Order: sequence, then structure tokens, then C-alpha cells
Amino acid sequence: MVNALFLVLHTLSLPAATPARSVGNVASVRHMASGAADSLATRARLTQSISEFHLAWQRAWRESEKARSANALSDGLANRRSPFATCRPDAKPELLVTRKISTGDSLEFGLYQHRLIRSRQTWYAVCPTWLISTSVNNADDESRSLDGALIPAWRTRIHTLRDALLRQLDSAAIAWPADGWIAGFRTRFRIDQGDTIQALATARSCQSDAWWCAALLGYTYARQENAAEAERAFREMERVMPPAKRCQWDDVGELLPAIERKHYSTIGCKERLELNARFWWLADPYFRTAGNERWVEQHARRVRIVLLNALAQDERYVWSEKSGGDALAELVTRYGWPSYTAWLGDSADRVQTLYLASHASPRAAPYTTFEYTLDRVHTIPSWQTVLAPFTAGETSWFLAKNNDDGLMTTDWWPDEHFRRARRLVQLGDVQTATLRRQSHIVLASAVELRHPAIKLVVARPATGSGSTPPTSPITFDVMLLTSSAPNRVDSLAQVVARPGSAVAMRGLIGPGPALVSIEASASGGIPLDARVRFGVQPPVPLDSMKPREIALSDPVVIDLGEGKTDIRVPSEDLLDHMMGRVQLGATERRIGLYWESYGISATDTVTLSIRITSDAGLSAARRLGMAINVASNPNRSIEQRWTEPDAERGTRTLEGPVPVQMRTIVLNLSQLDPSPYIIEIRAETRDGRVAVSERRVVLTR
Amino acid sequence: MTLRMRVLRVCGLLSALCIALPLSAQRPVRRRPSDPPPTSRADSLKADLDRKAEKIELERANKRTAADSVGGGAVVEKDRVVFTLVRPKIRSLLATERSTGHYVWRVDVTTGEPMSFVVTTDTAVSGDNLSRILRASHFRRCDDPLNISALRCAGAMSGSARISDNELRLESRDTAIVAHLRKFRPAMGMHHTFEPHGRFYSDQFHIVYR
Repeated sequence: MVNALFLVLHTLSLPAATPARSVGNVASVRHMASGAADSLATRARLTQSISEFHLAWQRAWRESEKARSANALSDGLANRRSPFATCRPDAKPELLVTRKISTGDSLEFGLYQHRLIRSRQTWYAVCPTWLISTSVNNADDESRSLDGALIPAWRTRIHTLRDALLRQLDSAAIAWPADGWIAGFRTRFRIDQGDTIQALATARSCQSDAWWCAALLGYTYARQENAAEAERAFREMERVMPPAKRCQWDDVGELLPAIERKHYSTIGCKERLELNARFWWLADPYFRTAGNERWVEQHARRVRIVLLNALAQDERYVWSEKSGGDALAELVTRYGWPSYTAWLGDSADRVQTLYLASHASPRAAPYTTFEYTLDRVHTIPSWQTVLAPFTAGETSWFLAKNNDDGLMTTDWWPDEHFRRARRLVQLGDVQTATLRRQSHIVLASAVELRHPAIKLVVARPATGSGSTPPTSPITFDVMLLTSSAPNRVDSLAQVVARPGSAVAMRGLIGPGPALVSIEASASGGIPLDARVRFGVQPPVPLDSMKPREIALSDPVVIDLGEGKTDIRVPSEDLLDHMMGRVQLGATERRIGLYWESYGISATDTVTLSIRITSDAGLSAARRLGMAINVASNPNRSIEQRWTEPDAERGTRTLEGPVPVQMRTIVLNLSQLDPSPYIIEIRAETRDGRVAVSERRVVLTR
Repeated sequence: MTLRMRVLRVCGLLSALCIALPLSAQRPVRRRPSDPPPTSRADSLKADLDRKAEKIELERANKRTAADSVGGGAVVEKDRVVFTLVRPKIRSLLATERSTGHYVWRVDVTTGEPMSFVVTTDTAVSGDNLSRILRASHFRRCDDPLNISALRCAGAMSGSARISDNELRLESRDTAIVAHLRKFRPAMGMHHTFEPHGRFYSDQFHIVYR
């Protein structure tokens, strides 16, 4: 992967030297002509100027860190940061950080030295982690602005120096307008300068390779947080990029766990194209908004790496692969630029340099921590989901971890993460059913808008600019969406719902598998989104059923709403009262069940049965108890059976080429112990045709 | 004089010489600027001892700087200044990362009246032999110390540079530089190494006055 990046970088590196000419007595030292016709001399001078700027920035940063360290040392933060800053591949796991953060700190969990990323060339390694301290004196998030790492007193000076450097780069660009290397630095430094407007103008005026110019444009838009425009530019970049380069650029191997990464590396470029498209489709955090923020972020990371890698060293870090720059590149590929990088001083640097020297590895000082804010999400699903997207369940994605109070926690670390502008949380349980219609399928889904983070914002609503609480209650705009392929998203339904309420939505989908996503955005300027996503493989519609075939829909658990919901007249409208979960509390033992049969007409004689069977595994003690007749078998099923037509049952029939019958029943599960159960519905016609469907519910205490 | 006496005399001279050499090394003979240039064998020996003494002095400075967490050192004499820059990996790094551009060694003295000079080629070079690059390089004094890009330092300055083992030795007999240092007697300085591909190193060094 990193090799791929270095190959990409190759096009931006200095071209071959001009023919040597002997100067004085130094025959083997080749002097480059510095005339106007030679961009090499220009680049050489620019390199020196950029390096001097880098040095000045590093000095300012070191001074900034020294100024901060006085406070950090006093509360032991330096000790806590030490294993992360001087990250060592051969450190035994038990020697790594497991200290609890002091009680005065708002973080409640211990920090662990998470999976380190080691260079393939040297013993240099990086140990990314969450922010070790929730507040850092006089520092801003440097993933948003590089100069955030400097204390304010230094920022103005660095700004002036960078301005001078930009003037020099601009002059060079007039002489060498097609030089992508110069265009890259002009764009990068303008962004670092906080001037994204000028950066955009610079990227637009780029006359280098089309793909690189598009990459710079996309990167600038991405830094402006304009994901839609960034995506457009990056799509153009991919379109014009040479295929071999694109294959390397699009490599997602580093975002995968080790085993999957190995598998991915064996896949050829052609197959990867399709796999990558599916990968990013599934990683799209929010289907309802245009563009794929995660995909954009990944390309922005790639461009950033190339920009930083254009010289062997940036303001702080050594990007040369021989000095361990590949580890840095992997860090940025997987996690983006850190929010804060703590430096523990020259002494710590010397110790780490000696450690590296003891392993014949070059020094790469300064050594820092790589700390990330907790507001990151891991939107990439399990590899199994990438291979078979429509088998995905609600747990195929693990977005982030939080505690019961809705606060983000530090006791997890994914293979990759990224920061969205709005917090994204995963909704829990969901109930979904598919009902057959003539040429389509009715997809009905219900979910409860419950999550500790939602509870948190309801309790402590964000107020935007002022401190006045919002006058209107917080609501969520909820959408039911399906996606059957990358870049194809259909919106089925949209409702406004209150936090904590159950939201039932339905819409028509075509035959064929799809990914379903229920996405809820908080109103009132609260930066909170919630989602749940899973695959569905709907049955064939009525017009595709075989002659004489019978079938049943998924049974739907209906919320009786303390008797307010009348289910005596079966109808599709009952789907509006679907329960938003299939975990039933102690007071929810009385439920309604709605289902449909297909291919059975009102005059057909059919035997219907409902069987409820425990789905819990039996413990050894229970099995022993059952053997000696002192314990009951919880898996013993309860069954109710009846035959129709029956005038007393309110079955409703929609006649047609394939008749549809709608049925309801009220179930009282209060006699059942808390446990998971399977509710199975079976229909058997007199001529022996059988259809079965089932729903799993969990009875909780 | 008998043969026995002659043998004893030669042995005595030889043993005296054997004893004298280490003693001389322990008590370095400093060569004054007013001293005539070494011509005789004795002078040559004296010059050798002088260099050894200088090396010991530099080692002492280096030890001190190492203890104080800095790298390299400088010795200021009456008529010259010698900067020894510690750069352990530079040779292998240069050998493996050949690229085109400017190799720049910059020395900044920040205490007292600031003073900066650089050692670099006038144009971009390509090569992996540091000694040869150094021979093609020039000493340039920076008119606006600390605040000017190394490539814009154009002040005339004399000096020589050579690489030995992992040390870079910059020696200047430039009277203005030596006089400046002796006048303000700064205790510390910084040196920076810039390589053509953008790698740079910085280290502090102590300055010893003799």
C-alpha cells in the first residue's frame, strides 16, 4: 500500500538530472544548470526554502510544546504519554499503558496502547490513541489546522514566514505552470495558512497532470468540508488516472484487519475495482446525504500523504521510507491526521533515537504521540459483509463505543476511523418485514429512536450560538432508504419523530436484495445522526410466484398500544403500529401479530398454526435437571392450531391472480419465561402445500 | 666510545623518546599564531601533537555536549574556529538517498550578537560522495543572521570543510568570524544540516575558547 503511494509520488518527484558538467576538481558532483530553462534548479532552491520553513515551524512547535509541558508534567500526563510517544515494536503488551486516568480528568476509562503500526523498513513505529487529556493548553485540533499545534504567540510569526514562502512558490509557478510539485506545495501551504479560498484558486489553476490537479481540487474541497464538491473532483481524478496508478491509489488493504488484508492483497486490480466500489458503498456513513464522506476522506488522506511525502520530511515527521515514513503513511491512511501530537522533549527523543540505533534504524526525531478526538466513527463493515452485503445484520457495523450516558469512551480502537461533522450513532433493535405485492415488495421497518446519545442531547440540548435552550422540542427527521448497488439509493419514506418513539415506515421496493438503512437526523442544529443498516433478501413478488405455490409473509409484531390499536380488521395499515424492536419488556407480553398468506383464496381450506419455541441454548445443569425430572424444558413449544375458512376469524382476502389473505392474532406471552423465542407460523392446505415463516422475539425482564 | 657504550646510548635515546611521546600528548603544546610554520621533523612532530591536543579538546567538548544533550562542538582559537558537527548516519544516508539539490550546512550562533554562516554549493548538485560535495561547496556568511534563507547568504568568508568518519569538520580562519566569536564569546550555537530531498537535522553545540 505504502509502496503504492511512493509510486504515485514518483511522478511528483524530481525528474532525472540534467547531463553532468564538471566544475573545478569535482568531477563526480553534478551541478545543475540554474538557468531559466531548468526547473530542477528552481525546485532545488524551493526545497531548501521549504526545508527552512519546516525547520522554523518545528522550532515554533518545540517551543509551544515546551510551554505546554510545564503543566503536563505536573499532573503526570507526560508519563502517561511516554509509551505512545516512544512507541516500540518489541514492548511486551503487559508493559504497555494500562493506567487509569486521574479522577479529576473527565475521561473515565483507562488508555491502552492500541495496535501499533510498525514500519516495514525500520524499527520506527507509531502508536495512535485517543486524546490522553481532554484539554491541551493553547492548542487547537491540528487535524483541522496544522498551526493549531502551535501556541497562539507563534502562529503569527509562522503565518508570516509561510506567506513569504508562498510568494516564492507563486513566482516559481509563473515560470513553471505545469509543475505539479510546485502546485502541490502551493495548495498545501495555502490550506495550512487557513486560506482555502486561495487554495481553491491555486488548485483550479493547476496545469499539471489532470489527475493530480483534480486530486488537489478534491483535497481542497475536502478541507473546506465540502464533501459533495470534493467527491466530484475525486471522481474526475479517478476517471483520468492511469489504470495502474488507480489500482495502487484505491488499495484499501490497510483499512482491513490483518487476515483480510492478506486476502485482499491476493486480489488482482480488475477484481478489486468491483470490490472497492462495494467496500466504499458499504462504508458510506449516511445514505441520505449526497456523496460519501468516508470515501472523500480517504482520498483526501491519500493526497495529504503525497503532499507531505513530496519531501523526505515535513514540519516534524520523516516521510522517507528508509526512516520509517511508511508507518506514518499507514497511520494517516487509517486514521487521518491526529488532533494532537504531544512531544516529550529532547531527552525522550534521544532515548528513542538510541533505541532505534540499537536496531540499526535511522533516527526519526521528534517522536510524538498521535492522539485522536473521541468523535470518530468506524463506518467500514466487517469483511464478510463486503463479500456478501445483503446478508448484513444490524451488528455488521460497529460505529463507535459509548457508555450508558451517551458519552464516547476510549476502550475501543478500530482498524480505521474518521470524523464526521455530525456525531453518528447506531440505533439498536429493528423490526423488518417484507410483504409481496403484484410486481413489487412492501418493505416495512420500524425502529425506536433510542440511544444513550439521543437521551443525552434531549437532556442537554445543544443550543448553537447562544446558551438559550431551544423553544421547540427536539425531533428527528427519519428516512427509510434502500440501496441495491453502489451509487443507487432509493428513499422510501420519511417521517418526523420524537426521541424515544417508535418509527414505523414502509415503501415499495423492487424484487432482488437490497441494503436497508433507517437514518435519523436531529433537528434544531443538534449535530447528531442515528442510523441502523442491514440487508434484506425479499421474496419474489406475486407475479413471479409459481402456479399453485403458497407462501407466508414475515409475521409482524404489532404494538397493541394498551388496547388502542384495533387489530380485528387486518389491513396493511397495521404496519404503522409495528413495534420498533423485537425485545419485549415485562409489560409488553401482550402483542398483536399480523401476517399475510399468498396463493390461498378465501374458499381454500387451510390449517394454520402458530408455534412458539424457546430459542435459548440449554445449560448442562438444565439438561441434567430435565433428565431427572426436576427441571422443565423451556424449549417445549406452545402451539395453537385452527382451520379456515372460519367465519369467526376476521381474515381479509384480496382476490387476484394470486390471492392475498391478511390475518391478525393477539398473543399473550405472559406465561413465558424471559428468553428468546421463535414464533413460527405454518399454513398447510388440504392438498399438502405448506408455507412457513417465523419471527424471533426476545422476552426480557 | 666502545660498541657497548654506543648501544646503551641508542637504547637510552629510544626509551627517552618512547616516554616523551605520551607525556607530550598529555600536556598538549599549543601552537601560537605567531609561531613559524612547521618545517623541521621536530616541528612536524609538534604539529602532530598539536592536532592530537586539539582532538582531545574537541572530544572533551563533545563529551560535555553529549552530557548536556547536545551534539557537536566548536573550539575557538585566536586565529581560527573549528566546528565539529556530529552526524553519525549522514554518510550512509547520503549513499542511499541520492538526489539533486543543495546540501547545506548552516551554523547559527544565537547568543550575544547573532552570527550565521552556511556551507553550500552555489547551484544544485547531484552526488553521493560527501567529501567531493564539500570540496565543491563554499563558505558564505549570512548578512542578516537567522532571518535569511541559506541560499541567500552571500557574504564573503574563508574556510575549509572535510569529512572524517562520521564527523564534519568546518574550519575557518576568517578574521571577522573569529573576532566576532571572541568578542561576544557565545557559549552555544546551533547547526543545521539540509539535504536535497528535504531532510534536515538540527543540533545544539557548545563553544570552547582557547
